[in-house]
Amino acid sequence: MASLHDLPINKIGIINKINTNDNIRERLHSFGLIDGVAIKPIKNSPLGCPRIYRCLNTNIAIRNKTAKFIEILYEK
Amino acid sequence: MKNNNVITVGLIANPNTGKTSLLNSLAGLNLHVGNWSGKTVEKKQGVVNFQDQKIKIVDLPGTYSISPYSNEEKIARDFLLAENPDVIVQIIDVNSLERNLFLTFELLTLNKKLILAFNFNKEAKKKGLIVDVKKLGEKLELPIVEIEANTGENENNLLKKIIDIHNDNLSQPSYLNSIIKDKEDISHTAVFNFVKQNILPFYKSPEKDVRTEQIDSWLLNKYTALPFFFFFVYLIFKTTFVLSAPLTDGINYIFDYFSVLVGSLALPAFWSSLLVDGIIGGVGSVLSFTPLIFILFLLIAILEDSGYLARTVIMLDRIFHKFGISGQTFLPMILGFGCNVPAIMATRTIQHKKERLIAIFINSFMSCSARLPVYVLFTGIFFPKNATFVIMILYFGGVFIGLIVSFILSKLIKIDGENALILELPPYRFPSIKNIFKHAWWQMSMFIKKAGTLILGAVVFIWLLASLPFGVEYGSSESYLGQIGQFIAPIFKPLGFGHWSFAVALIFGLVAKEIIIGTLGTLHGVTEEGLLSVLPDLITPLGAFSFLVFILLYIPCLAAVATIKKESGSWKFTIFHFITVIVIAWLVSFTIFQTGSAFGL
Repeated sequence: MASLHDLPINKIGIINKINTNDNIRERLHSFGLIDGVAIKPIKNSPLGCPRIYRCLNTNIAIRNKTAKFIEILYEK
Repeated sequence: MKNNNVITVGLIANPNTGKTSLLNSLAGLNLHVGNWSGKTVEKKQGVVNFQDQKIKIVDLPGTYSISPYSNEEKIARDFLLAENPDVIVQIIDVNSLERNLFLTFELLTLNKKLILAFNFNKEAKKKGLIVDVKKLGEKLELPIVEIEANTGENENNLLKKIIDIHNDNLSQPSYLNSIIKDKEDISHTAVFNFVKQNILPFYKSPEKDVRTEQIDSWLLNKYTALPFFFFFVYLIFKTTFVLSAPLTDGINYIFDYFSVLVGSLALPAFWSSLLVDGIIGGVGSVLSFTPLIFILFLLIAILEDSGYLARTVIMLDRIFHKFGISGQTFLPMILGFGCNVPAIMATRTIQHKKERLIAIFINSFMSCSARLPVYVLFTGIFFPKNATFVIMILYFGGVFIGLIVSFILSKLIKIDGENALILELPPYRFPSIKNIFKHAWWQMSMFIKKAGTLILGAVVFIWLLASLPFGVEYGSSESYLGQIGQFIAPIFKPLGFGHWSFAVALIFGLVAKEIIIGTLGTLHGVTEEGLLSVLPDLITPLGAFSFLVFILLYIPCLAAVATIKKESGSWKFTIFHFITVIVIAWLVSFTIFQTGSAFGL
């Protein structure tokens, strides 16, 4: 299963499951990152982490170690 | 009982939606700032008179969620449940309507009258957003008012709507039960499906934000990001110091004038000294910071409102993360170079409690501008050829020690979890001039209020120690302060500055660091220039450097201590900080002086 971290820049993925702890999951939910929502990495930050994603018309920075726990579906 | 004459409105929104702008333009200068009871979070409220109706507007902290299961600040939820506002107004950035609606649905579960205020409509249209507001209102079964918070447009429509809704009966949207998971929380999946079916047909957003991506392609580019970043930081400091210097001089001039005036009155020496050395000197030195604070906060507000601040956070996160904190601690650190007091206040932008405490703690290691004159004088005397280099070592040394201490504290403070740093990068926007001025004005007046109370008390106390017992010369070795200085001076002997006048200067330095120079001058009966010849007889260059390091690391000033108490909300933490930084300062200076001496410096 691919994680959000594996998704290449500008490739759209669909969030399948968030496997972080409850606190972080709740926070991701409140940003609109819920199962079924489309998300797209748009940019690396200058030092590589966090990456910037576009989701529900908003740009959100998420650390790579958090993104690894977000399962996504996408066409390779 | 509720006062029927006043409608209480709770203003709530996601961050970056223009809530503060709306509040400022609605309440104007009637804004009252206090704290939420028992909390260190600012509570702003103001009363508006509209069509003979008093409307009290209470600003709630910006939040992405009020779900009881979220780990966000609970103040918004507590207020909405306990204080029972008549109407809730949610400000929505129409550009990111879908995400904003999650909060809307959470608000609906509270069974309160709710109005949606769509903001940034013009910007959204320019960017290519197509939205049918009328249809959305029908589908959501909620009143929607389109506003432009920055210009105050359509404000009256919003106020009118508040009165209308207040007079109407509460009506629950018919779909509410279908999106509720349990009594208190919404089902995110159900909300997602509801939005897909009912909202998206009337809401077409452009795929990307072209302007923001273009700007980011420069400001967040692998190669140009850091140069831009350092350029902006340089610009902030340069502008702050250039613009505030004449104002600071002006304030000092006025206070000097007062001193001379009072001195010329035929008052008994005791009272004359209390007024001149104690009150006028102390308050004057504190007030002389106000231009600096005002301008620094003005520029920071521009950084924040333009959207760049969030970028600086992610730029440095990777490095800071290794020290147990996140990029969010960076801004307060930078601000600390100006003044630790507003910098510690600025840690409010960090929601994560543990990280916020660390950020407050390490801020005292950031060399504030009051330390600079001391650095300049000492390096000028002892390192005339390498003065700039030594000063830079002090600045970077403070940051370095700060990061090490962060690392240790992040292991020591037992609050669960770390700041996961999930951060919205808002679109770039032009800040509203009116708002940033108001913001800076507030910060400055808060600072002045403190100068009027706590600092004044401390100044008078130290003045008393320096003047008693009766008949001694002010601040001389016979005064209580001089005696204390002689008593503690041996502690500083292994650090290379064992003369009692340095101990006294360090005590005076608690009031404000720049007083250190004046104190040394007074104690040796010379002017600032006179110190050039006196000081080399008292300490070696190594001892001088050790003294500067001590000044860098020990308590910034009593105003900072008061701010730490206020922002951490804990005396225990404040005292822990007070003692720990002195111990750290002593250890570091000791190591420097002893190592240096061993190498024959």
